[in-house]
Amino acid sequence: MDHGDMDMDMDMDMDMSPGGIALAKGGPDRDGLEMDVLHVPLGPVLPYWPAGLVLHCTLHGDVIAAAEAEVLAPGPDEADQADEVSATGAVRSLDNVVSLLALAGWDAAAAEARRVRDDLLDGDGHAAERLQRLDRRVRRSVILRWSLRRLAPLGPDDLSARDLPAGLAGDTYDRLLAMLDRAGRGGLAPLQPFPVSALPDLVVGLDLAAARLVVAGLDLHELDPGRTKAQEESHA
Amino acid sequence: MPELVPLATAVQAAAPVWSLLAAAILGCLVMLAAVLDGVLSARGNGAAGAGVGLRRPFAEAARLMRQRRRTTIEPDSLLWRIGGAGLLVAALLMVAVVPLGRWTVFDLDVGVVWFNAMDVLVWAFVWLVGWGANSAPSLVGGYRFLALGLGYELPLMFALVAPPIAAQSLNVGAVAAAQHGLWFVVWMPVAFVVYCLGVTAFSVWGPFAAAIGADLAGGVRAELSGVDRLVFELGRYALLAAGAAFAVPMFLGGGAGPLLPDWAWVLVKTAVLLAALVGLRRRLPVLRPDKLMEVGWLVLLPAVLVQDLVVAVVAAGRG
Repeated sequence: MDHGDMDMDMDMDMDMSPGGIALAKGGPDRDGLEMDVLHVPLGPVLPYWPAGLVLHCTLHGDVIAAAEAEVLAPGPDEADQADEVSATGAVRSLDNVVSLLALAGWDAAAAEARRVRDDLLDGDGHAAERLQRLDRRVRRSVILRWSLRRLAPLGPDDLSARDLPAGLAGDTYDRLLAMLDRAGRGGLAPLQPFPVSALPDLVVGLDLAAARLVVAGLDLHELDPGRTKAQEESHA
Repeated sequence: MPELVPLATAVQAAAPVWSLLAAAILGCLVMLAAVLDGVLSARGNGAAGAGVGLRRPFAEAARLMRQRRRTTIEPDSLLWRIGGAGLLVAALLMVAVVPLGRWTVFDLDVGVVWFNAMDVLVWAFVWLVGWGANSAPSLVGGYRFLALGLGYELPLMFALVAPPIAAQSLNVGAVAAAQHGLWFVVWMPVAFVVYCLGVTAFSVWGPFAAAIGADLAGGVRAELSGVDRLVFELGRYALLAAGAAFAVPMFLGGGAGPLLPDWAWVLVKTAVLLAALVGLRRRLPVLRPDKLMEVGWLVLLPAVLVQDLVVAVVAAGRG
């Protein structure tokens, strides 16, 4: 509180800072309006979000105008932990299916997907037919298709330009179906680490909620931090 | 032959103290809705036995009452609290015009318009909850609710117009009385469906819960905690119950039915419709607001206008 008051006295003739935080400045947005510019970090810990990923977004209203992605290094204890649960690629894909369905607001299907994932982890024999039932249910839903269609469509040239795996072709709905297919094939190894530097291009221009759906749909098994800014600067 | 009492005068206004009974009945319906939602959630998540689901709403309410209140930097406290508490108040005011058999708390000549006014108030309250928190996801959630409102409000208004045209009165008791013989839901199905969608939408429930979505970290309720959160959730359930209760005199024949007295039939019909609306939540994904605007203006609005035309022609032909 004292700090806030001191700020007010110093900035009396410049900007107001209620509570010590400066007011948002305006900036032109995609429609030519002047919207307030907010800096909002997404992550590193959010429900249905890849752990450790931080997406620093510059928002105009609720549309992401610019973004920077980074991955926080794991803590000192992480290196010692052996992989107690050796999750296969199928289980990790199902985990991302749960995230995407929960973010799309379909609680019943997300709960069903969670149960199939647990069955797969336990090696239950019924998992395959439950997964097929889930797959049919997801394909039948018109509302889900409406919500996920035309979100971040990636053609083959976009994929090769950004060095992304071919399995991510199409829009978010196609990627959801591809994740379910991958889960159905079982026994696969986890996917290659995803280059985090490709992430900002995918989310710029989308609103906050759509960006979260897109990130959940990318089926991120591991994140490749790539070179940090400091390393890039030292190489330049 | 004894003179038949005209049914339009069959509804009388009760003394104001009976509004406490109306609040108590609304409270019971809210509990019913919360317990049903808890049971469905528990069953969907694979919990064995019904005990977990039955206990969950009460456990959650107790937890929220004990929880320490969280706040953000520089929230607009007055508007924030007004928004949160306003939902419950709007629901109570809605229920005040619903006749329970032969008695009602407000016997307004324009009861239908009163209900519509209360549901428009919900726009203000939900947006204020989003605004007051001084938080980005919260504000985005508030604006999402306004975008949804643009999609559902006009179809809802036109759906509410259809029963008064047929009954030739805006008084809720008169609309209920005009259904002896044939309930309005039978020959105004489009209006009934659009009305139910409107009720689900202004309760921020089910497929219209984009304003509180998980993809926005909880949207308007992201920064709510403790008692404020409990009041907000109660308000949502109460709006759902009030909307279901209002459908009974409008479309489902009021207290008409064999065997049971009319006040019992009103409660039974309300409970059945409320259970159907509560069951919608988990089964359908959430609609994006821009999609609802498309559907609302291109599909629902023309359909309801055609329905109103049909009703008007029939009413003119009869009268």
